[in-house]
Amino acid sequence: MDKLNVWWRNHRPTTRRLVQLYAALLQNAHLRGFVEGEIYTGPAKAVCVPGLNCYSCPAAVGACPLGALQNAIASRANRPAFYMVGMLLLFGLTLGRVICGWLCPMGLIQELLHKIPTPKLQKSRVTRVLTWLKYVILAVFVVIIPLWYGLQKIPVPAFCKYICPAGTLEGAVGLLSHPANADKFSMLGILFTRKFEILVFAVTVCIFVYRAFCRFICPLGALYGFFARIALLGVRVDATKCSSCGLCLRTCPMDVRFVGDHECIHCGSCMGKCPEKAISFRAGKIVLKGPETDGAGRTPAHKQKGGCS
Amino acid sequence: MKIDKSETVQGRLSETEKGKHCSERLRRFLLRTVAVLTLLLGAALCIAALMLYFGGLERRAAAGSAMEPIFTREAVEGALLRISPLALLWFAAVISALCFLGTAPDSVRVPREKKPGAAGPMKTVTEGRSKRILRICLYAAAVILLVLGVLNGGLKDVLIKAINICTECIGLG
Repeated sequence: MDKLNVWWRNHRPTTRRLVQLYAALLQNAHLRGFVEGEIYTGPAKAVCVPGLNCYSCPAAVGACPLGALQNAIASRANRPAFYMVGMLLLFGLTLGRVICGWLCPMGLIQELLHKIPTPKLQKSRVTRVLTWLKYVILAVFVVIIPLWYGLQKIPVPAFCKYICPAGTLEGAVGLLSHPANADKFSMLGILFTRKFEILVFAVTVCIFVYRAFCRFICPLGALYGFFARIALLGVRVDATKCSSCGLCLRTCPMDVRFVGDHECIHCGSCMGKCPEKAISFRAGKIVLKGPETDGAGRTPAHKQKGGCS
Repeated sequence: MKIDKSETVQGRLSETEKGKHCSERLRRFLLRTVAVLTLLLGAALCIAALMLYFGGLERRAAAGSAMEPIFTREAVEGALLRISPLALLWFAAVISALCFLGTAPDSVRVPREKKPGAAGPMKTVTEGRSKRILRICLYAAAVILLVLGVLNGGLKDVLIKAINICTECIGLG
C-alpha cells in the first residue's frame, strides 16, 4: 500500500493536466459523433471554444475560433466580423495565453506527445527566432489571403485549408475512419496528401521539441499573445521580491524573454523554481495560486515536476 | 569465517557502478531507438501517403476517367497494413522506454548558473490603474461587438459554418 502511495504521489497528474483533460473533454463532449460518424449540429456550435479545436471533429461541440475568424474575414463583403472580434477580444482580455497552457486540446496533445522518451531538442536562439513565424502565418494565412479572396467573393480559409493539422487529425482522421463516410474517400486528393504530411511532420516534431506547433505555427497563440500584458489571468512576478537571477527564464520550456510575455503560456512551472517565491498565478491583483513551500521554505519534491498542482 | 568488509564494500561499489553504467547505456539505447523508430515511422507514413496519391493518379489515367477516386478505402487499408509492423515496433519501443525510463520531464535541462543579477533587471508585467481602465474599455468594446455581431447575423454565420463539415479543413478540398 505504501509503495502504491509513493507511486501515486510521483505519477499523479498535476492540476493543470486535469484542467487540460477536462477542457478537452468539454470541448469534445459529443463523443457519440465518433460512433455515428457525424458531426454535432446543435445550437452550441454557434459559440466559439477558446482553444484550437476543429469544428469538423465528430466530437466538437463548439466552433473553432480560427476557422470562424477566417470565414468571417472571407465573408467581409457580406457583413463585418463583429461577433468573432468580440469573442476573441473577450477570450484574450480574460485569459490571454492561459488558454494555450490550460484549455487548448492541441496543447494537451503536444504535451502528451512530448512525454514520449526520446532525446529532446532544447530551446535556443534559433527557436526564439522561429517563434516569429506564427505571426507571419497569422498575417498571411488568417488575415490577408481570406480577405483578398473574400473581396472577390471566393471564401478561402487559408490556414485551415493549407496548414492546420488539427483539422486533419480531428476532422479527417476522425470522420474518415468511420465506415459511414467511405464515400468521402473519393474526394481525397493532393490537398489531403499535403495536409496529412504536415500532420505527420507536426506530430513527429512535437515528440522532439516541446510544443513545437504552439511555439512556431499556431496563429491563435500569436493572437492571444497580443493580450499578454493586459490579460486578467496569468502568471506574474512580484518585482519587489525578484532578484533577477533568471532561473525562471532558463527553466521555462517556452521561448520567453520575461515571465508573462507574449510567449508565456502561464503553465506555472516557474513558480516552483523561483528561489525568492516571487512568481504567482493572479487574476489582476488577486493571487489565485502562490508558490508552495514546506515548513523549511522548500518546494515539496513531488510538486517540482512542473505545472500548478 | 573472517569476512573482509572492505572487499565486500568495494565489490558492492563496483557492482553499483557497473549497474549505473549499464542503466545509462540502456537509457541511451532506448532513447535513441525510440527516436530512430519515430523518424522512420513518420517517413514511412509520408511515403505511403505519396505512393497512395501517385498510385491513384496512375489508376485514374489507366481508367481514363477524371471521376476515378485517387484514394480508396482498400488502398488506404493496404498501406496501413504494410506499415503496421513498423508501427508495432515503434509502439513496443515506446512502451519499453516508458516502463524503464518513465515519461520525459516537461522542464528543460537547467543551464549552468550565471552570477546573480547577470540576467539584468527582470522585466515584469505590472498591474496599474491605466491598465485596469484599458481593460474595462476593451471589455465594453468586446460586449458591444458581441451584441452587434449577434444582431447583424454574425452568430448565425458561425453556426451555419460549424454545423456543416468543413471539407477544406479536413483536406477534401
